[in-house]
This record gives sequence, structure tokens and C-alpha cells, in this order.
Amino acid sequence: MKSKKDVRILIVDDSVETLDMLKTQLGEDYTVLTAKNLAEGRLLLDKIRFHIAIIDMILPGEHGIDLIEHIKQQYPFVAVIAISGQATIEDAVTAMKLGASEFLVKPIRKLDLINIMVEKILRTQWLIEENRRLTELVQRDLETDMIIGNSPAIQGILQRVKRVARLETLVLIIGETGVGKGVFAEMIHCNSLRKHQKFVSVNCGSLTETLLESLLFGHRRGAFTGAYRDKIGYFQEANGGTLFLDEITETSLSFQVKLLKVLETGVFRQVGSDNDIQTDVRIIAASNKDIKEQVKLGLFRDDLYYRLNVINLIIPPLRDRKDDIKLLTNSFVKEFCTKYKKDELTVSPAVMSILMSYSWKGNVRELRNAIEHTVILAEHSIIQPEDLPDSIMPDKGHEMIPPVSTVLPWQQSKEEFERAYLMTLLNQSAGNFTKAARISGIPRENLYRKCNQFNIDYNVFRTLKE
Amino acid sequence: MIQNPDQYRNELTSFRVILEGLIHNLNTPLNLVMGYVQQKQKQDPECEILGRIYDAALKIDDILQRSYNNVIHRIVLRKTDFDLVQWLDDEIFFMSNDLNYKHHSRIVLEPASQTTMVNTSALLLALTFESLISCFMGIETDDLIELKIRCATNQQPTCLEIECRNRKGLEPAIQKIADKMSQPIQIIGIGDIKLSELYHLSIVKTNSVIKANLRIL
Repeated sequence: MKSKKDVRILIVDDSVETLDMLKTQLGEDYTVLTAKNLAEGRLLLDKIRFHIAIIDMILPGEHGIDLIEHIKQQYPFVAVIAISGQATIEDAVTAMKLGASEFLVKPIRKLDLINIMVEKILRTQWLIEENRRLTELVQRDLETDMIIGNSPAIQGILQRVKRVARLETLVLIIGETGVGKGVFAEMIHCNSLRKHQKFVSVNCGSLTETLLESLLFGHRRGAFTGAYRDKIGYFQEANGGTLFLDEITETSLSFQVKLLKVLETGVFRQVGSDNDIQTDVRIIAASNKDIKEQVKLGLFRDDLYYRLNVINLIIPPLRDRKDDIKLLTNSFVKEFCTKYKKDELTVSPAVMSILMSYSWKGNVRELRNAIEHTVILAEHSIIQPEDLPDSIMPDKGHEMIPPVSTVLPWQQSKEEFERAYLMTLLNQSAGNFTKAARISGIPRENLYRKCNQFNIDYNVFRTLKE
Repeated sequence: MIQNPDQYRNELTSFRVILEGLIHNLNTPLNLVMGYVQQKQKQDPECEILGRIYDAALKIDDILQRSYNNVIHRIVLRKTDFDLVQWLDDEIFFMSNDLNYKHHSRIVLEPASQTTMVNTSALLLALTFESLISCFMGIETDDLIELKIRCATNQQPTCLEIECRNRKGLEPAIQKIADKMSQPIQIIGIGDIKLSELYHLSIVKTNSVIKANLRIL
């Protein structure tokens, strides 16, 4: 609130003189409006947002209690001071029960008391507002509108994000395509001290070196063919904020040198310019590759790697945190039902079972796309396997995989799992035992033995792929 | 004589309704007087007359509130705990609203040394006490009647004492009240009660002074 005059007070009393007197008393500091009866009071309340209402309890033909009730139902943030010319304890109790903050009895022996009451109420309102704001801030701590998951792995990463967000340090995010590296980068930004500044994201992998350089550093008019005007780059645009460089390992070595220079000095030059420009940008880089390996192969500069790798976050692929699939699926279903204005859909256990057993090489992005497709095509209120995209639909081998029950005895559950595992393995390896042994790390002999034990006809998988 | 409690309660209830409305109607202008005076005092803190107007308004408010509280208290028939010293003070204040007493008597309330809690019916005590006062006042005389009233907190049971110079016919009049107290009176919802079971009235006469002692049993 800018000043006391921004505080609006409504006074309702049938005595015009009382209204004048109270207006004089409070009008010097606050904006005071008056009403001679409840109807006038209601009209004003409809039009203007008041902070406090001072209401006489006994009015000709009506009772102030009715207005207090109306205020507490319609405008719960308006504080009420009840005044009565002949107050009984019951009146006071009723008024307070309905939510009146204060109760004053006429004649008011110390008129300044009303100013004190108003001040006290405003202070309380401010405290409530502040408390609400702070609570919201705390709740927003690491809150994101994107559901990421609640598996222990993700929870661990979130804790780490919380710790590093407020530091000014560089962060390197590693994870397969589609795991949500961008989401984590944005989350770091939103929880950092730079959150009120810009978050700029660039996918370095999709751009040529020249274009990337121009986009990041900007260019001067005439710097290259097509540069018809000066253009600022992302380093300038994100000044004070965060710049997220996705697929950093896809950049050329020569670009990496330029990037390293900016990271070390905070200075860069626009393409076609001789002037240095200072920038204050927090860099978050990401890659879907093993950067160490890239360094070994000479495809990524080791000095840049060490510079970037101050804090790293390794996001596990979705297949390694199957606990999150259910949560993500339900969240995406809800999201797309809203987007495509469809009635609420539920996921059948059969569909969930298929989703849980799918490998999700494209991770969360693939799951999201699959659910979008499913929601669009779903014809009934319960999503059935036929609504799923063909790409993730299990083939015959998959269909034979029984869902693992959680209520079976341990030994039986273990056997069920082994059976399901073997079938998935054989499906992926097209019944090739050498390949299956390599993927699983289980000797071929043991695989044969297990297949016999569970009566699995591995030839079916060979036939399916042919 | 002692008024019928039921009749007295009905009268008080009607009076209470009127008094409530009266106080409510008076409070609005009283609030204006007090409010405007306070606002004016801020502008002119040295103005003495404003202080006097404020004090006068305050006194009006006190009279109204105290009278109302007294009515509210005395309307209670059942036994409650209250401070007898405070009760006596309020009672004398309430009686001062009766101009008959005000014009013909001078009541001296002797201060009590301590508070004394009693458990009795405020209504019946008021009726008994006021009938006694009425008795003291009822003896025709042109002289100003001086009554000394005190709450004897050092006695057990606690006693209200009313004292005045003896006048002809006063002693038999008090005795009539004592006799009346021994007779049962019917109260709706309670049945027959004798005031003598609640209060003991005795007369002490020394030279020209007569004293009525009302003990709260």
C-alpha cells in the first residue's frame, strides 16, 4: 500500500451527524465513504474495494449484523468494526462470531480509539497479506508447473537443484534426450536470485556455427549477407538473467573457444563489431552425451568442460525411474484433456501396464507425445490399449507379458518378474540369445534354462521379427 | 410493604425495554457531543469549557449505564454471587433516581472496609431493602430524614444496617415488615417462599436512634 490515503473505509450509520464526525476523525488519514443505510452500504461495497467497514448495529428497520454477514460472505478481506449505541454482550458476541474485528460502544469515550483500531486492523491485514505472500513464496520453492516425478532419483535431483539454484555457479545438466533438461534449467533460474530477469534457452545442436554465433553474440548491420540491421544476441538479451545452452557438445571447437572467453571474462563482441560488451549472465549448459567421452575424443574442449562442470546434474532416463511413469501419465492426460476440451479420461490398468513396460527411449518427451496422441484418439472415458500410438503398442511378444502383480507372494512375484523380463528381453533381441545375453549380462546357457523353466517359446520372438 | 416479586419483575422488564431504547436514542447525540468535543479539544487543548462539557457528557453516560446495569442485575430472581458492598453502592445510586427520596432524605453511605461476597437473589434483596428504606421514609415529617447506611462486613452473617433518629411509629412499621417477611409469598415457577428464610431483620433501639439490621443468611 502506497499511503494511508489508499486505505478505503466505509462507515454505515443512520445518523448523518455521526457519519460526519467519524469522517472528520478518519478522513484526514484515510479515504472515507459513508452510507446512511445497509442498501447504500451494499452498493458502495459492490463498486469499491474497501479495507475496513465501520457498521452501526442498530439502524431503522434493519440490523447491522445483516451487513456484517454479507461482507464476510462476499468480501471476506474487508475488516469490520461494529458500533452500537446500546450494546449487549450478546450483540458483541454475535458480531465477533460473524467476523467483526472490533466492537465499539457509543458514546465513544476516546475517539482516537477508533484510529488505533483502524491502525491495528491495517497492521493485521498487512501481516496476513505478508504471511500469505511468504507462504506462497515458500510453497513456490522449487515449484514448477511441470510435473517431473516423485521417484527417489528425481527427489534427490530436486534437492540438489534447491541447493544450487541460489548460487551464481555454472551448472551442467547431463541426460538423454527428452528427460527434461530444459525444465530443470528453468527451475534453477526460477528459484535463483535472477528469477525476475530473463531466462533464454538456445538449442546449440540445431544451429550452424555462424548462426549460433550471431544469435548468441548478436551482429552489426552488414556483418554478413542478410545482416540488414543491428541485432542484439542472447547474451545481451539474457543480461542479468540466465542463458541455457542445450546440446552444448554439438558446438564446434572454434565456437567453444569464443564461449570460454565469455565465461572467463564476461565480455563478448557482436559479429562485425570491434567493441567489447560486458554481460552478466548465468550459464546453464546441457548435453545428452557423455562429455568426458567427447573430451577424450577431442570433440569438446577440456578447458570449457572444466569451466562448465562446476556443478552437474545427471537426470536419469525415464526407464530407470518407472515410478514416475504413472504420475507423468496421469498429469499429461489431465493436461491434454484440458487442452483439447475433452471430458476427464482415466487410464486403464492394461494401458498403464504397457506404458510401464515400454522402454521410453525418447524419455518424458516421448511419453508426453504418446499421451497427447492417445488423448486425441480416445473415444471412451477410459483409455484402452488400442488408443495408444502404434509405436509403443506391444507386438505379440509384448502382449504375452503378464503384468506384475503386487499382491502375490514374494516367490511368485519374483518368478512373474523374471518371466516378464525374459519376454521383454527376447522381444528386444528378436529371440537372439547372443544379443539377449549381451543386453542382460546373463549367460546364454542361463537364459535357455530360464526359458525352459518358464515354458517360454523363444522361437515366437524370432518369428515375430521376420 | 414488600412488593410482590413477580409483579416487580414484570414492571422491571417493561422498564428495561424502555430504558434500552432511551439509552440507545440518547447515545447517538451523546456520542456526537463527546466526539465533537474531543475533536475540538485537539484544535484547542487549552479550552477549559470543552473539558467540562466532556465531563458532563461522561456523567450522563455513567448515569445511563449504571441505571441500566442495575435494572439488569436486579431482574435476576435466582441466587447469584455478588459483592454486597458494590451492590449497596449501586442500590443507593439507583434510588437516587427516585426524586421522592432525593428531596426528603439525605443518605449517608458509610464506606465498607472490604468486599463481601454473598449468595442471594438480587431481586429479593432489593425488594426487602427498598421496603425497609420506604418504611424509614414513609413516616411523615417535614424534616429532612437522614439515613446512615452501612454494610457490616465484619459480622457473620453479613449485615446491612440502616440507621436514623427515632421517629414516632417507626419501630412498629419495621416490625410489620419483619412480620410480613415471615409470611409465605408465591413466586411463579418457584412456589411459596418466606423472605425470613433468606434474610433476618432485627431492630436495635438506643436512646433516640433506631437501627434496622438486615442479615443475609
